[in-house]
Amino acid sequence: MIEAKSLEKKYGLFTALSNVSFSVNKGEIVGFLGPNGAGKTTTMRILTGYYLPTSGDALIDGFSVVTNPMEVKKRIGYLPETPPLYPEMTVLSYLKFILEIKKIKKNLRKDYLEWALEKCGLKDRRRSVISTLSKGFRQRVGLAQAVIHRPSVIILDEPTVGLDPLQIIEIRELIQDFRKDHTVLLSTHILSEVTATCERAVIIHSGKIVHEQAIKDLSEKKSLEEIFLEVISRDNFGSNQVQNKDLSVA
Amino acid sequence: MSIWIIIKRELKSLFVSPVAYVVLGLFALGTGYYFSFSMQRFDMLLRNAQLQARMMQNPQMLNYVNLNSFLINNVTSFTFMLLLFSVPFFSMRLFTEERVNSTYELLLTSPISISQIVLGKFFAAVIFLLVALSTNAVFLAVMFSFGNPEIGPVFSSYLGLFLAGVTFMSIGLFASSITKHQIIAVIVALAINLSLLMVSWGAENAYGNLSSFLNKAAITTHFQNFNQGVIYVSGVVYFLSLIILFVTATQISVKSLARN
Repeated sequence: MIEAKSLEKKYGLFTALSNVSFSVNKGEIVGFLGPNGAGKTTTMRILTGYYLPTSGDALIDGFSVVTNPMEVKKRIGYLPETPPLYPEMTVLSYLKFILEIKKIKKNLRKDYLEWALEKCGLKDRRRSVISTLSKGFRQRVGLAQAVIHRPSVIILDEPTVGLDPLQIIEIRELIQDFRKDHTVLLSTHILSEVTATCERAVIIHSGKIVHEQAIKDLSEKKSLEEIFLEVISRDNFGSNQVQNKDLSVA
Repeated sequence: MSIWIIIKRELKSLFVSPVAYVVLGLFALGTGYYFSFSMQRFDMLLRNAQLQARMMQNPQMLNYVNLNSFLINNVTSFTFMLLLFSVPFFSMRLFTEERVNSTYELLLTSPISISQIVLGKFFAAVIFLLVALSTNAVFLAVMFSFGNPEIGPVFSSYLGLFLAGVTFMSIGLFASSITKHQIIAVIVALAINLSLLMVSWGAENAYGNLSSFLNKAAITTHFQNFNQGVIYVSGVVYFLSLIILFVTATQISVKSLARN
């Protein structure tokens, strides 16, 4: 599980995150929403042990990112905004490298590899050099890297960006497969993804958590989009008014 | 164990890229050409000496023209200079590509420490350097089969070359960790290498205590000791200190990237 406790991150005078607290329980899939620059990526980088918070702490399966980062990193799968790929490697050698670096035992590697290739639709591309792959396939390799070692906590930053509609459905199914035994936190701008896959949505704006919404509590009268816009503009203009915009999204 | 994983990956990437072969090829070409040029010069020297010895009826003179000092040492001195200028090109890819590929996030969120990442790349670079130096094996094979140079000084020269090369590699490793542009990594590494060289120029023109200090600080002095067959502990310590300095500096630079 993930527990963020009053996370604060400052870069000099600029406060990127302040008092960010939320939790994701085991078996839950939570969507992390917010406008660009709100602090989603910074939060995820702190949760994965890449950055250290200026103050506050985060617990991954009970292990602190501040005092016990190695234990945290053993339990995490992370897909950053830009998939971390080595363009000169083939898909197969890259995923084998991932298995080695995540310290998966030798006898399990073959199974995990086949499973990840299957689930992410990479079976035909196993010998392709990564630099020759299209954006969608690179995204798939990035996703494979995040889940191949069956980590207990999976953090995905915009996992469906660049994918075609069929791939999006496949990835959605892949994420849902993790529901029982793993903890998933994913960030996205596509609100329909959140309503389709997640149990809860956490909305962040200007470095602060402004709203948490259980998806099942959404009524027909208020869609997630309306709540999102309301919550964002509340901070922008200091009032409770929602701009009269056309709320249909392309 | 994790270090070995990084070494393997790094070597695979290094030898798949055409840059490695171009640089290795040019290095081999440079040393090879200088070797054959030196051979011709040595040949001339030998003939002159033989002529003089005959004229002066003094066969002892021929002992002066020995293979070690006049051929092997020339080649290794030249190789030292070539290393000083070419190692920055060997090492420029090491960390810059991690920035470009955004793979720092992968490495630093995996259960592997920064030291293991830095040391893994360092050892991969050292192995690459060994491959580059082994292109000199051809010359040694030729010289040992057609002549009989002394093996001790040769071993000492190559030890010196190896230590100097590893020093330049660690400087290049550091330079590559502070930028995402390969060209800047090359320029910074070259600048540091040249500064080390310039200390020896200063040593030539100074007097007294300053002169002896600069001499001991100059990289060429220490290499010349190795080249002449003398393995001083101070020489080994000199190179090792520089290596440790720059590898540590690389670690600090990588740590700062994780905003720790």
